[in-house]
Amino acid sequence: MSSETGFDPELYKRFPTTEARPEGELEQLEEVWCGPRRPWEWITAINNNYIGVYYVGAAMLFFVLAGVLALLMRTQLALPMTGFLAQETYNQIFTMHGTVMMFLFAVPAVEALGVLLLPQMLGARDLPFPRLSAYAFWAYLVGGLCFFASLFFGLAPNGGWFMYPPLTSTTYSPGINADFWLLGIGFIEISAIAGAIEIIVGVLKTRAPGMTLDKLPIFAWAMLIFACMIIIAFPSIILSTLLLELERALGWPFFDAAKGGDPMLWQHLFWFFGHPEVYIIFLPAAGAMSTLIPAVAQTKLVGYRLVVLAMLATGFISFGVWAHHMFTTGMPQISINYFSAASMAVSVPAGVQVFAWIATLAAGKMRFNTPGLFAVGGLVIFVMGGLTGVMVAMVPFDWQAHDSYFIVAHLHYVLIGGMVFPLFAAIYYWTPMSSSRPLSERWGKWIFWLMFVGHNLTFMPMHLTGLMGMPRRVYTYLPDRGWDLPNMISTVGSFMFGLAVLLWVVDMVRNFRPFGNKDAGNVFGGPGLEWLPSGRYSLRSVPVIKSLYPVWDQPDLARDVEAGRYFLPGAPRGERETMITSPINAEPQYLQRMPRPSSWYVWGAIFTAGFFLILTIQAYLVSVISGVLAIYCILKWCWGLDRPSGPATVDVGGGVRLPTYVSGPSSHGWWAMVITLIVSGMVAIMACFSYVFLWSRRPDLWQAPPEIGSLPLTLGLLAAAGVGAWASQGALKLDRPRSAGIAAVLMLAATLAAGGAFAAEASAWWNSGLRPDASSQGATVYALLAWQGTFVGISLLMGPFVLLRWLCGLVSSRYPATFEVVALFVAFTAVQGAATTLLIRLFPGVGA
Amino acid sequence: MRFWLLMLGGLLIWAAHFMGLYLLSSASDVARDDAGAWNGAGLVFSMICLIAIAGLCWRCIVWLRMKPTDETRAFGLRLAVAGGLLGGIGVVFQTLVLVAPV
Repeated sequence: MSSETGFDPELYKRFPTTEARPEGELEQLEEVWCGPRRPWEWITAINNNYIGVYYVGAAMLFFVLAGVLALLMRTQLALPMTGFLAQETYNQIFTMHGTVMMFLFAVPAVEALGVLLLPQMLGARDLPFPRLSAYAFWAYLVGGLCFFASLFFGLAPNGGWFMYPPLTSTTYSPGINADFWLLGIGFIEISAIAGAIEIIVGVLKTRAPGMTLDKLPIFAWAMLIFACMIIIAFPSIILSTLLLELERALGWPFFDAAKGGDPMLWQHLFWFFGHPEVYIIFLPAAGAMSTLIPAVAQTKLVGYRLVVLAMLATGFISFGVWAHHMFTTGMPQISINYFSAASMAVSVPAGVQVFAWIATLAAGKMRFNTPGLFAVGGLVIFVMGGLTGVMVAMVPFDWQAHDSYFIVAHLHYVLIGGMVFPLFAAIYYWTPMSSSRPLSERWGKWIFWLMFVGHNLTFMPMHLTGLMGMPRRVYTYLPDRGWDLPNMISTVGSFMFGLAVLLWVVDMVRNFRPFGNKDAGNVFGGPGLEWLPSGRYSLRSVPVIKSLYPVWDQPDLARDVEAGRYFLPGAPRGERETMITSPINAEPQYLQRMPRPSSWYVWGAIFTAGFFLILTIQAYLVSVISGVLAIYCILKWCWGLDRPSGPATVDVGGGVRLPTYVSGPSSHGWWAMVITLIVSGMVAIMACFSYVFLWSRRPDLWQAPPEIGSLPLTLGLLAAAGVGAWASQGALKLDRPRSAGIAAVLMLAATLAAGGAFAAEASAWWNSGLRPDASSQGATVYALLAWQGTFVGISLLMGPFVLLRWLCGLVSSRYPATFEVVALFVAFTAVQGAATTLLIRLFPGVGA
Repeated sequence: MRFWLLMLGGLLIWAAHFMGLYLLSSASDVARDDAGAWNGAGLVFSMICLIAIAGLCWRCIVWLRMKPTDETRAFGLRLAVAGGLLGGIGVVFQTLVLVAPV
């Protein structure tokens, strides 16, 4: 193997080592990675073994809550013209059912699986940013529960889970219901993006040595692609929720046709997120299927490379199908045809994975245990949903089926078959890894059959009711249309499904025993690293990987890992640590010091959720206070970064020495900032698309930009900001006596220059007479300015933050990582500002 | 970075092709010109994408024929070829929309 980083692969031959480990090494490792000891430490815990279980538990709680809403809906629709639910209540319930299932259950559940499983699967001690995981979890839980509670006050959103304007504009939705959705979902997406950053850096940078890309577990591939898709897709929903909230709160007409807006813009932005969203939900579940099917069949996955390619292709093609949700909106025929073709094409990679699973089951010795049953049942249901998916990819058919129960049937077949069943398979399969008792096989089989039959009874008749003309989202229907019997059958089926879930909850209560000192073991004979003996520190020592199925192919692995004969058998600096490795060949690069629990990220999460949710009820002062407190908590959290500690290199086993600190493009913090900036850049790109789109709809409304003479000032200040930020971190690296001070002052100057540029541009537009509530041009120009203003605001916080750190002696050339990521952010702010300024000034130009 | 670009090259070209065709058709809709010229531009763009994919696949096949000893590199090259073929099929499929009668 050729080296990626200069690491000598011959060093791997030193492992497993043979000498005995020092006395007390294991005890020190256990002490350093100890679990919560005091009651509040259960809340401040950051170890993925705790956060992962909390996360899965919260996601399943929302699954049950949204499921109860489904049972209420089915009760209402069991018979025609029942008065069980009032129309407005029904509207809130179906909106919340969809919203909670998609935003609070589906994505968090698969993300939670990743948080829980990935470190063990990759041979890492934890995810690279454990406090970020904790922050993301608590923001999600607190915000999600408050959002759900809106139902009990009659304030739940009621415009459907996709909240189309103009129905959700203030004219037709004057209450704060829609605001709950817009602000609630907005920050939940922030939580999901934080998790995605964690997963990308974790999969690419914290693998066991030797776990090259061709030996990367298929679940890790799925999570990597999932996280990359989140980075590209979620900015669109963040932007669209911001725009609709601006329209509702301030009257900026993005979607108001009377002032040049266009409701189609919402649909484009929403579905550019919304369609990848369903593949974001499907891919990790598919990765789980590709992992547990080989274990259940006791044979290697057939077509590993093809399955990897299929997942990559799914990830790419899913971004090219969004407008198949808009076939009936009057888009140009040729555009519709492109999306129809892509929508047919996207079924091919899904089919490749299905055939790989079938071939693996055929090649092996299938055992119909509970995970096996859920896997096969999910496969059958998913294929059925996929077939109806290809049907609706045909435009003429979709014109008939759109907004009917046929679509409801299709989406539930693909989502339940493609995600819920695999999730239950995964829960049954992996529970023994986290719990001292596995779940009951006997109960599991009953639960599976109830769920499988219940699902088909519920959703199969909906194909028929849809083709018979029953529309979606109706709170009742007239008798004697032939819809009565299918609806009754669907209701009976839904309660069977509900009973299955109830039995599962009881089984969890009876058997799930996490956080103990032992687990139930490798009950199903799985081949991955997660099945090696482990503790809160994950593996005792990090092995050298030689196979995609290490537990099967390296027979002495468990014994040698447990004896500490591989990398990092202890805690060399007496702290929590994990190894950072290179992205392609997983060559050891450095030892990452990991944080201990504190409370700042928990409070930060609570105040972040508070800021968004209190805005909803229009208590602006309280909301601002909550926001300020959130920023304070996050700054306190960051204050402790880059503290000096310990020797420059340590022995990580076998005489291999690794640095204890790295900065620049190899460091995990740099990667996290780059990914964050890609998210930000995507929001800016989608905002620029919105600007161009709305111009194309009503070019007659566009007025001339400000005088060109004011442009050089803006661009000059932005250039100064960018150059200043870059120069500041260059100055720090010089490591002269006054380097730190010069660097800090340069950084402050750069942030002030960015602020000056923003002020100049904003006043130029204001002086031109354009107002944000006057037209779509005003709305989009000021939206772009507001987005830039947000970045400038954050930069203006970072400048003094850096200066304060310097004054306290915390800025050092030896530990420049924090400074470098701040410089990256400020430089990005400058580039983003320049790009958006040039767009709004030069396109469509004067007199267009 | 080169490794990733190579491995994902076919799919990246497909994505660029899709976005390009969509942008051209949107521009055609806005300009309200004769669609023939825009469709022609789309066809030319599709040809360029197909040539790029063909070039990528050919290069990767040449490197694979040298029997690389690095398994990870070989994995990446095989994925690049397979991704290129898939991307190429996708480009052709999308381009059929341009040539098929509406």
